[in-house]
Amino acid sequence: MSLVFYGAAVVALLAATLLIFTRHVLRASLYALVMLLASALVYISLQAYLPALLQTVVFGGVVLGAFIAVVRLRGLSRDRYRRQEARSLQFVDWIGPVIFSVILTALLLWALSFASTPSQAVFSEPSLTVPGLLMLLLVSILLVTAVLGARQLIGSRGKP
Amino acid sequence: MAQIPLEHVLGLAFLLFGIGLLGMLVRRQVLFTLLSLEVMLNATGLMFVAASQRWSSPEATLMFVLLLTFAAVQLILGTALAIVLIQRRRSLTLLSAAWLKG
Repeated sequence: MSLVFYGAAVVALLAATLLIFTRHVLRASLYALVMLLASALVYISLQAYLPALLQTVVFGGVVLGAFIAVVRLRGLSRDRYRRQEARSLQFVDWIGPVIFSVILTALLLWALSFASTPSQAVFSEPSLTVPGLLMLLLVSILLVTAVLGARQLIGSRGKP
Repeated sequence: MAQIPLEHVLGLAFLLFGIGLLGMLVRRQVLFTLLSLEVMLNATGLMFVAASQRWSSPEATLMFVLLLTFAAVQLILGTALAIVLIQRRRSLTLLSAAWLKG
């Protein structure tokens, strides 16, 4: 498992560095997604399966949401959006994230070959006690408030 | 966790946090600032998970869940603010938000 940890750590560091120094927003979103998946693999190598699941689903979903939002941002000026879309399908844009994703997939297969009973490890995570349920309730209220606030921010200009 | 020392995990979290901080200081665009903040929050979550596995405390995992939600919320609101910026100022740099008061 230590090979999985160090390999995923190297991929996460490289993806974070490339995220900073790229100039293309969509490419940076892809590098952010790769970094989050590499972090999830680090969690798996630490035998923390629930955070890895949450990281993949929540963070991955959020980054993809930001990806769509960026496309919406660029869509505000049509010509710029067209040029952006034509340039976003270039080879150099997706080859870096694809290479990193292949490395991560190989590491995940390597980790799964070592995995002993993962179901037991999942259920040895914290059980849903009353403070845990209260935390989940607070978290969902926070998310709903954020989405409503964002809707209010974006839609405030079009109202009379 | 028994095979991987805690210092290595904390070193990885420190490096990720440093990269995110560097990106937040260097980049001028709002979206890159948001992504750099995500890198920093990811490093913090890695520290929480490492502590949770090291001392086998479920509270750290709950804090990780709260941290994930906080990261999602700041990304949602930050993207909404970026859309408002581009609607009103036709620009995405942080300096174009200098007209905000209070």
